[in-house]
Amino acid sequence: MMKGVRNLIETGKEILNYLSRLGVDYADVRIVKRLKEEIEVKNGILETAVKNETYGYGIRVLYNGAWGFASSFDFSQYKKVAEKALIIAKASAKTNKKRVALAPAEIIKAKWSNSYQIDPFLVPFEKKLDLLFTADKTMREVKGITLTESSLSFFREDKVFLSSEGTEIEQSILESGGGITAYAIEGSDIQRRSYPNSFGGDFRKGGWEFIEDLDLVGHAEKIAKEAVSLLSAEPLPEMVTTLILDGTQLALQVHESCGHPTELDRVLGMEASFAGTSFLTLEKRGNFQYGSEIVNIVADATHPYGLGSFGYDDEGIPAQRSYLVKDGIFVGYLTSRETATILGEKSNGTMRADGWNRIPIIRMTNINLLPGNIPFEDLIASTEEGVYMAVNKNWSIDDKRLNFHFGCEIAYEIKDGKIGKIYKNPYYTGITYEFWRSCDAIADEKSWRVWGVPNCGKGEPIQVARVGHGVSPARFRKVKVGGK
Amino acid sequence: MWGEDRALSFLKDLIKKLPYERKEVCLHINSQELTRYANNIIHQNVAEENLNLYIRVGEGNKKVAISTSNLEGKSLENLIKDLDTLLKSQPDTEELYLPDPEPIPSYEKKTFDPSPEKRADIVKKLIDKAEKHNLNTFGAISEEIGEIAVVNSKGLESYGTYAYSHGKVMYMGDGSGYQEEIGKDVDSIDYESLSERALQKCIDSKNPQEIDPGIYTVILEPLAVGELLEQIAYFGFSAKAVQEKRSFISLYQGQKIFKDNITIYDNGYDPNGIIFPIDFEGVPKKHVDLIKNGIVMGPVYDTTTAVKEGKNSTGHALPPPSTYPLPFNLFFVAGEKPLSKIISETEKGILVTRFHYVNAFLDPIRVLATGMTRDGTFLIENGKITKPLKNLRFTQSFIEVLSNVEEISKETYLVPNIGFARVPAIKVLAFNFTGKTEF
Repeated sequence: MMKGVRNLIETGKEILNYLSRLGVDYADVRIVKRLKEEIEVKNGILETAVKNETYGYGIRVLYNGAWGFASSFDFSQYKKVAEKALIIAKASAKTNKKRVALAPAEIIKAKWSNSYQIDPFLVPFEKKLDLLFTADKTMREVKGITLTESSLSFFREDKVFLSSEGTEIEQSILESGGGITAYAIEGSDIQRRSYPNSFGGDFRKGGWEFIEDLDLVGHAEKIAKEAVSLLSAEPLPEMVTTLILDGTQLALQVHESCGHPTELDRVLGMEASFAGTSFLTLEKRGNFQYGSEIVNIVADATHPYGLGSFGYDDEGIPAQRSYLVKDGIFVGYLTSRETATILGEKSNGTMRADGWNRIPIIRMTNINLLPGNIPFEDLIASTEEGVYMAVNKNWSIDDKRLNFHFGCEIAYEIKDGKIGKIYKNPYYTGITYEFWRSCDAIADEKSWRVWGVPNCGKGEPIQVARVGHGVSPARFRKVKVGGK
Repeated sequence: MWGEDRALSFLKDLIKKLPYERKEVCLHINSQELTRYANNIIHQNVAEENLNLYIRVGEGNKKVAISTSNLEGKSLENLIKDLDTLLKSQPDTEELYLPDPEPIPSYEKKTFDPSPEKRADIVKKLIDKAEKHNLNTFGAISEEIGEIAVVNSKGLESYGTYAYSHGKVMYMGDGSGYQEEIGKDVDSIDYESLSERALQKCIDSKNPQEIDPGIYTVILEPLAVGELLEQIAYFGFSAKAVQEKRSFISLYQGQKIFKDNITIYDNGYDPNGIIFPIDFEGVPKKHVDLIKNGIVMGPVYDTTTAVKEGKNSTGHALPPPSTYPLPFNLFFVAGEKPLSKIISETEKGILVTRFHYVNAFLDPIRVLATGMTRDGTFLIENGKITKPLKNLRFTQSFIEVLSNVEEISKETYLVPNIGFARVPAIKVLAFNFTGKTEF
């Protein structure tokens, strides 16, 4: 076996057959092939033109109620790798006082892929470069701009999942993303503006059509001018005021203060020594006032273009949509088959692995703040005094996800319902539940969209997940803000 | 692991097939295992065998890179065809700069077979200690061995190996205490000492008291110093950041902005760290003074950033897509006083075991960072640790912190960093705490 062009399902079955002879209680095999293309133009130079392919398999076994996992790029060594997984499970069993139990799962045989119009890997390289060089040049033509970055990123993942329970799933994922950033640097003052978001832009399930819709070139001059203007702007004064967050920043707020604390593995201490635990402990479920009554947050892996969407998670559980916060009350967790048993429930399907060489762990899907009923223009118009902040610059939150601090690229004064002057180096800080309880307006679905976050880190060894956050701008009262 | 002969022979065969003016092939193979435990059981236990082949080629002022773990069938051939398309369809912008060959200094080649059984036995002892004190323990023990081989069209043929182990121990009950350390292998980490330190912090941090944020004298223990140094290194010590004027070095190179007691260097061959002999361009690691007796030196270079200044690489290249050289083997030179004496000489201050979620994107030039304390924050009064404190948020320039270092401990620990760092504890004046949390 394992020569030439491989049938992934047949390969997976062969590995599972071997595992069954080893006498494991449960086993699953994932075979994953990933292709990534990354292109970056920086200050007129093609800084990065890289294609990366990674291909291998991961074997997870339960033996005597304990976990073992082994992975490799070398398919000729699958028996050795399977035996390694078993040896590891036996070592794990040395410390275990009770057996791992898995919540029941439906046996599934299925194929899934996301939709897209234009395969970005087939778009001519010249076309991609033309877009990036044009955006880059447009930004550099603005006087005062000292550094520019324009980038595109495309991601394809083909994977199969097979379990000893009989599930066989094939999935194919295609994602595209891109963005631009202009820097104005003067001595020790470094200001930047990004479009459509910072740290590489926006990402979603889809093809080249998404890149065209972004219109990077059309936004290049505006953000470059704003970056230069920030050099002469005042820092945002320290005060307690009304804060309106744009979608990009609110997406990260949801990510850090709702997404991570509702991961049940964190709540149960499985991430305690590294990423931390959660303030959303088990007894709070169903009775804790997480936010104001207008705050509704769902985990939705079924969204058509969300970066956190899929057909089935990496335990073979179908994608789902479930409430985490309903009418302001904390009501749900992100779960796995192992952790859901503690709640006496079935998994809601959030286990994902960062490629073939890592184990699946609980990850955010698309954690979405549902839209409110006020148009964005009215949200601003109905605010007498406050600050509107846009596009994330930095982020930090404590290890139970309570005290947070976020910096943004730019802040705009709001006075008598109108956007006014800009401020530099804005930040806001608070305690998660106090902040969400102070939310008194959420913009309607016209300004709602799912933002892609392709770099969510968690686990040991570190795993990077691609997740999404649907939001529209929202307003929060009595928030502490400042400028550096 | 493939070994030197097989790896270099594979790369020499491969590079012959690439019809380009400038070319480089790099193979990185590693074996990594990790046992993770929480709530007094092993809950995750993993092993991975990885291979990454990196190919960079250039013609004129054009360059491109590919990487793959898939050496099978037509996959590699197809990727190599992509190189051609990507190369020929781009405009002239910048040449692919490659390093010249140079001898690799000899070093102790360390290797081992990672052992899940050995790791489980250590975890069992950590759990026994937790149960004896009616606590839970959390953490991870990992082992990694790896090899890097590089061949380029200028005649460079380099090969190097590395190996290390990493242990993390946390105890949690009403309080929490944490320690971690890097060692050359799993046996070189003293888990008895590591766990005792973590346990004592857990016991001592019960019933923490609230303190108002403000400006305090702090004593940062080695784990906190490691995180501080990681941020300074990431934002400040890369030649790329300096050339883009995003680093404090671009403002202060050659100037004495710190006290005499601050010396920080990078050295991949220092036996007091983890030996990492070559970078991903095959260049032997050089000793680089980053800050010497308070004077700003540095930064670290890869070949591209070095050529731009008419210099040679210092051996700090990362694999593509990264174009950002970074220090991997940092040393913060120790002082002469034991930490206990530094504490006993402190009238009022806050002792910080560890930082959490530090982020300095607020102002990369000043390395203005915000983050939290965790797993053991204590008040020092009249030379004694008097009570545990609830965790605090800081918003503080780490460059200012280095300017305000009053004392440096004689003890150092090898802790994780961008790569690894050997760091002491430091006493710092005027550290700015800006917020607090509920625990």
